[in-house]
Parts: sequence; structure tokens; C-alpha cells
Amino acid sequence: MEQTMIITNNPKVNEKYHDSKTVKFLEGTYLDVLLAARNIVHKGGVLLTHPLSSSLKPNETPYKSLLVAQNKEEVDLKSIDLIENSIATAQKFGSHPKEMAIKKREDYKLIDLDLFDHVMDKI
Amino acid sequence: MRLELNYITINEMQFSSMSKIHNQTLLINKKELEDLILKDEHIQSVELDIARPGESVRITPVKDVLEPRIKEQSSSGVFPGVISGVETVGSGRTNVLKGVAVVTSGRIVGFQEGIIDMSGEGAKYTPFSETVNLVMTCHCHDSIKAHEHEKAVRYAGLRAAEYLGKLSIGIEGDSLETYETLPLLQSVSHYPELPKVAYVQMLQSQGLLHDTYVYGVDAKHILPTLLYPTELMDGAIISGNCVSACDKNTTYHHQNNCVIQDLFKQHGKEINFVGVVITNENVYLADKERSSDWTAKLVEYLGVDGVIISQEGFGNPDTDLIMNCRKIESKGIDTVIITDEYAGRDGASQSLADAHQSADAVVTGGNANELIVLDPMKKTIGHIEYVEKIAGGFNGNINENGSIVVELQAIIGSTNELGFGKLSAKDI
Repeated sequence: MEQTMIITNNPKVNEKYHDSKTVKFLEGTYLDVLLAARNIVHKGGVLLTHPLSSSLKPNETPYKSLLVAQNKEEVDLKSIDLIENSIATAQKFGSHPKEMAIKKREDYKLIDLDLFDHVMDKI
Repeated sequence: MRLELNYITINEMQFSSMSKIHNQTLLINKKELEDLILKDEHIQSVELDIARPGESVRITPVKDVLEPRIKEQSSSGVFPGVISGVETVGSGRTNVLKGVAVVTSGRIVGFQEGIIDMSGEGAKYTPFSETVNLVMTCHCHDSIKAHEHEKAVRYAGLRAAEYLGKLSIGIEGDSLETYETLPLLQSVSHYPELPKVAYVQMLQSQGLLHDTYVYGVDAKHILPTLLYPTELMDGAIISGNCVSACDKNTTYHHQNNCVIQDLFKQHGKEINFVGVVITNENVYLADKERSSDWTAKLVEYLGVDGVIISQEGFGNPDTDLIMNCRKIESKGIDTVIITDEYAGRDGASQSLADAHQSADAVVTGGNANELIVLDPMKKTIGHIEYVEKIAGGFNGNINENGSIVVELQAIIGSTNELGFGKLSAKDI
């Protein structure tokens, strides 16, 4: 089985998977997660999940989790294309509001975790 | 497969001591309907309101919109696999209460979406300002999980739509429309001179608040499959999708899929409309590859000359849309895609998050980032405090005179990607 890594800024995803998977947890923004993924992709990582979240916009949800496969010998051009397009989209939307009610923040974490769980069920 | 839609026009809705249809008025026994909804142990209370076209009423946040229907003298029922048995729908006679809708509302998560204004500027952007709406605001127990909460409200809407639909049993409608699709080989031989066209409908299916159900099956777990068009017109697909308000397909949109209706209008004249392929929009990239491969394979197998593809949602699903388009075009089949745009408030930015040169015929539902000013409303059904927090709203967007500035994406159905809306490059 290929070696995979989770890149996330969602504490709920980190909490659930850090014992069983390789998790790169960032105390950063949605865009920071995409930039971290770009660094990995340029070193041969392959995206396994889409860098944009469902129909939630990058300026709505603060949380993002991504799954990448590591240590490919050649750079994956599809992954580069996808991450660059997604970063451009995220930058276009700008960042989410800094002040956010706790309930709302928790619900965004829950949605991101739920979406990610459906992927982890498959690998 | 042949479906008759028996349209029963409803112009007015009132609460009454007895539920029935009388003189094009839908009378509803509030207590009886409340009791039906409260049979769900998760729902603590429900408020029922009526919102009519032209009234100074704002409904928010809206979860789903449904059209009351019932199947008469049939072994199958409305919303199969969910509140009816799994028997195949799309044939026989279905009564449609035309002019009314059930609108579900209620707090599920801390961010919520969707406004329907029944009058003023906002009313111009949603088709549900023109229906007489029964608004159901469901309140669930505090301890309920978000998944259960969404499901409880989804089922409440379906049960109410069926309850109201049953009132039409035995009533002869104002008009009857018949739709029929022949088995593929018969259809092809019937119109040998006409170009064969299929419709690919993409369904949002990514997870919590992003789900769609096909005969009760969570669409994220399906492989792309074939349906008769009339199955979609008859409740085979329902919405569990809460985002985004502007470009999600509510259950009402599925029941009244205007791509299918328009393809039927041209069927036997300019085209031969042979059928529908449904596919999903998932998170895992391997799923996207698999589903788009299968979609292209199925339309190739149908032997069609052209395909209409409709998307649901924005961003991540743009990738599914482009994959479907590119792979179908690579088989020598022409495509037209229907999407919407997030092109910035000035409309100058890149519209989609993905693109390909094969996507050379595109219909847009509009720019969801466009700003509009909503007039003050005298009455709000739901929770107005959400308006500055929903997608398309922003802090400080409520003016002193009560008007609200939002992006179009806050309005239910405003940039719908089936084309079920009013935006156009010209006034229509």
C-alpha cells in the first residue's frame, strides 16, 4: 500500500487520525494547508483528494484536510495543475472572517471531518 | 416508460379545521400535519407558516423546497426508497399540486444558507417567490447530532409533501401532460433521422449537508447509471444538500428538472432524447476519475451524438464537470455544459475552478458573487441573525433602513445549474 499523509488544520481530523496515519497538522489557514500540499506535490507527492472543499468556499470554512501519496519518483503534473488552480481559486476568494462563533467554527470542523471520513473509509 | 402528470392548480393556502382541496385552495389542518411531523422522535416542535407571493415576508435559512405530489393507483409511491417502497417510479399517473411548495427551515449547523423573499428585489431572483409556500420550521432536541438533524428535517419535508399530495386523490386536474421514453433500440429506430441526445445529471454527494439520494441510496455510493427521464420527474431523486443556496438542486428542482422538460419539448422534432445518466461528485480523486470514466462509457454505449451535462455546486465539482466534458468529448460526442460562475463581484475573475478547451459550449446560470440589495421585509420566518453569516452575506451588510446587501449566492435557486431561474443576458 502506498504511503499516505494527511495535511490538515482541522483539530478534529488530527485527533481522529494522528495515531493511525501520518498527519501534518498546521496551525494555519485554509490557504496554508494548500500551500503545504503544494510543497509536497512539487517534491513528488500525488494528491488523492481535491484541494477545494465540496461547495463550501475557501472564504467560508476555515478548515481543510487533504490526503496525499508520498515519495513518487516523478513529479505528478495533474497534481501540480490541480493544486495551483485551487490555490488561485482560494486566493481569489480571500480568507474567512477571523471572528467566528464557536458553534459555527465547530460545525465547519465537523463538515470537514465528515467529508474526510468518507475518503478514509475507502483507502 | 410513460408518465402522466395530472396538474392541479392551487392559488391559495389556508389553515383550516380539515385538510382538503377546495376551489383551487389548499386547506390544511395544522394540528393533523404537526402531529404527523412530530411522530419523528428527533423533532421537538414544528412551526407552520404560510408565505404567499407578494407578501412582505422573508424565509431564512431554507433547507429544502418540495412540490406536493402523490401517485394514484400505482404500486410505487412518491419519493421511492425513502418514504415509499423501492418500486420503480416514472410510469402511471402522478398528481401534482401546481403553484404550491413545502419549504423546510430550521437550525442544523451554526452556518446556514438560503433566503426566499416573497416580494421586493430579492423575489426576482428565486422561483419560490412565485409559489404559495407552506414553511415548516423544525426544532430538534439539543442533543441531536448534525447527521440525524439533517435527516429528520429532510424526512419532515418529504412527509409533508406526501400528506398534501394525498389530498388530491380523485381530483381531475386542470391539465394533463404525458411524457414517454421508449426503450433505446425502439427509440433509435423511431427517429432514425434525428440526432440522439442524452442528459448527464451530476449530483452533489460529498458528505454531511452535501448529499443527494437516488431511490433512497446515498449518491456517493452509486456508480453512474441509466434512468428513464420520467423517473427523475417522478421523485426518484431527492435532495439532502444544503449548500450552496444559489446552485444546489432542491427536491423541487429534481421534480421539475427543466433540462428534461426542455429536452422533451424538442424530442421528435429537433432531437431524439434517449435517456439520462446520473453521476456523483465525490471528494476522493479516484472516485472522480472512476465516475467520469463510467459516465463517458455509458453515453458512448448509448451511441448518442450529443450530451447535455448539468453540474451541481461550485469549486470541487468543477473538476467533475470538466472531467465529464473532456472524457465524453474525447469519444467524439458533442457536449454542452451547464454551470454557474463565481467571477468576483465585478465579474472579472476566472469563473470556474477548472477548465479545458473541450468545454467550448457553456451555459451559465449567472454570477453568484454579484451583489444585490434586498428590501426590508415586515415579517421574517426563521432566523434573521444568520443573514450576515450565510454564504454571500457578510458582517455589516444589514443597513439602517433594514435593507440587506448580499451576494446572489445567498438566494435559493438564484444561479441554479439546471437553468431553473430567471437570470438571462436579456430580459425575459
